Amino acid sequence: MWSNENFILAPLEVKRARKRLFFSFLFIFSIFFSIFFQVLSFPLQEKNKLLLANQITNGLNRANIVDRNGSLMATSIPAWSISAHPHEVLEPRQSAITLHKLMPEKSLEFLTKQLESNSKYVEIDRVSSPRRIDLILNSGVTGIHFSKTQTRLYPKGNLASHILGNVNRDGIGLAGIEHEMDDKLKSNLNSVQLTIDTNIQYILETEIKKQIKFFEAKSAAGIVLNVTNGEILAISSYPTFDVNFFGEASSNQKFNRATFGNYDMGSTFKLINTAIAIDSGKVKLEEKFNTTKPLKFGRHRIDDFRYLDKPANVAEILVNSSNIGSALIAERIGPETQKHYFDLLELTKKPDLPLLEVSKPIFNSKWPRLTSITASYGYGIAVSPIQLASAISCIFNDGKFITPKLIKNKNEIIKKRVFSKKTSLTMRKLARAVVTHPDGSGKKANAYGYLVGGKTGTAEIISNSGGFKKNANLSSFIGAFPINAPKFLVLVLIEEPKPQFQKLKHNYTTGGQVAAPVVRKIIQKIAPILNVHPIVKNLPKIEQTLKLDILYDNSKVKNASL
Amino acid sequence: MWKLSILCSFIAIITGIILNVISNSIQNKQAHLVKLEKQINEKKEKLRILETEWEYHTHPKKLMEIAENELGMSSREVDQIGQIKMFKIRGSAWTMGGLSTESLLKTHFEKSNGKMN
Repeated sequence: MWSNENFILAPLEVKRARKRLFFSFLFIFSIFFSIFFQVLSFPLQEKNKLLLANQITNGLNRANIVDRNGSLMATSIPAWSISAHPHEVLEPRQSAITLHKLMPEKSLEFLTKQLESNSKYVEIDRVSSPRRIDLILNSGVTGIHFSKTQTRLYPKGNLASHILGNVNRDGIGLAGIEHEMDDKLKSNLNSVQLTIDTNIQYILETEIKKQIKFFEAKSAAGIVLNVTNGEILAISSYPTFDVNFFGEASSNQKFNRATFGNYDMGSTFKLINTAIAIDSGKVKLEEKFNTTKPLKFGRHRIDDFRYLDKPANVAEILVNSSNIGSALIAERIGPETQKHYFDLLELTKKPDLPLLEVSKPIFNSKWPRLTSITASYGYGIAVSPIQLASAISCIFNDGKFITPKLIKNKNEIIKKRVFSKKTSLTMRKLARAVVTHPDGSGKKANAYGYLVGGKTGTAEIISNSGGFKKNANLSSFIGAFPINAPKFLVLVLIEEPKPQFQKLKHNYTTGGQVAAPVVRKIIQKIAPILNVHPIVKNLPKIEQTLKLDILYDNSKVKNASL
Repeated sequence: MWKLSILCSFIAIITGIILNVISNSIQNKQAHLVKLEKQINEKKEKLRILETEWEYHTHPKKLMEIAENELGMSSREVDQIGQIKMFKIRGSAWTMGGLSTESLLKTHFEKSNGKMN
């Protein structure tokens, strides 16, 4: 019988053997258990979760861009790329002819050159449909290879093209939101939601386009803004282009006039000048200024479109859009106070928008007296339309400035008080008077029932060689509705409209004639979408509360100066 | 000592078997998961294409054209909307059992107001 007793071992050696055995088992078990736990924990590891997520989104790893209602504006869809290995192609010329029949947009010369190439690999088509792949497979052409890829598609075509921008063939954002939100679009599986409403965007673009055609104008820009939260509902620049064919668009088409174009805005700035005058307390609304003759500042002469036959008060100066009156008011305000307000309205800095195409305003940083005077009626400082829109929306929004935004998020809206509530109310009354008063220049913007209030602008355009272009205007209108409690603001600028005597029996190309009617049409069409109902029943009552007696009753004029 | 050795060997073998079974099971599940993910991916791709097509077909321009051409709908001007008072109802022509439309409407509104009260 075999037993342990047959071995005679020294007690010390037995002890050592037991120890060795124990540690050996311990070692083997620890290896077993470590493998065991590793295998069990493998599917739970974080990196594997990411791996799975990547597998799910394989090929579609750029997030969508959607509008405020979730409607797709940019998406990635699967596609196929076609390449060839020329050394595998039999009868290259004949193969090229066959391929040309299946893809007529590729010239026969190009296909022949590619298939006869000495390279190991040539690209035939970057993005192709599955149907085309089927046809090529069935054609019997050899040496053609396919690989799955993705393509960026913009289902709305021309709509908001300047805002969306584009990506290059490697899926890297080149312009617009695609560029500025590139990292988020690449890494985040959630869509980027814009504040844009595609329906409002369409209405804005269509109405502007119609007026461009009617007045044979050169270009235009338009904005619809929610004044209560700064959300941009629509923003347009004309000429436009189809984002799906970004490469084919000219630089003029790609130029985003609404955020990148700098303009001397003209008379729309008088709203800002008047608001500063009233809010700073430097001028009283009923104060009169001599607007009957031109003003001279050094070499500069300030004229009006039509002279007023008697001194006018601040309200009359705004309603009649007097440059002379505005300049006199600016003199009273003083450059320091004016610059302070311009800074608060962020007219002197680059707007904070998630776009590549955003310009800095152009002005004399020393802000001399002359700049102060010309800025009062919209010259000497060139800003982008979005800056003008946000500054004016501050005046109408109880004097609170809100930075305009393009991305819909839950971030807290930062409101900065610039003007008092009282100033805002007075300015709203004045803006309404511009549209309803017999002398008002914005009568054509009066959309019945929607209580539009605003200001026209007719600015001369600076030529590239310096000085002003002859017979070239920038006609604009900026208005909010309903002006008793403004919710939305519409801005339309039309560049270089041509006189249309045949159609209109006059040659005017002013903001009141060109831009104001467009704003009226836009408001009438977008108001139902924005759930703003026309006021019919209480209209006379509300109109009465918005009426400024000073404009209709000269007996109330108290002071007179200049 | 040998008992301990047998016990440990036995535990090691059992653990090995369990480990192998679990490992196989995980591998199978992962293969199944990858298959499901592929299917989900394919469905998602199809869904995206459908969504894109839907967006193309619901372009505001298309909707407006369809509404105008097929339904005869067009944008309304506010001044086209009026109040019932604006219509001059000819009582003699619109009488129903001796009652004019005007009086019928008046009775209707009175009843409605009564219900609301």
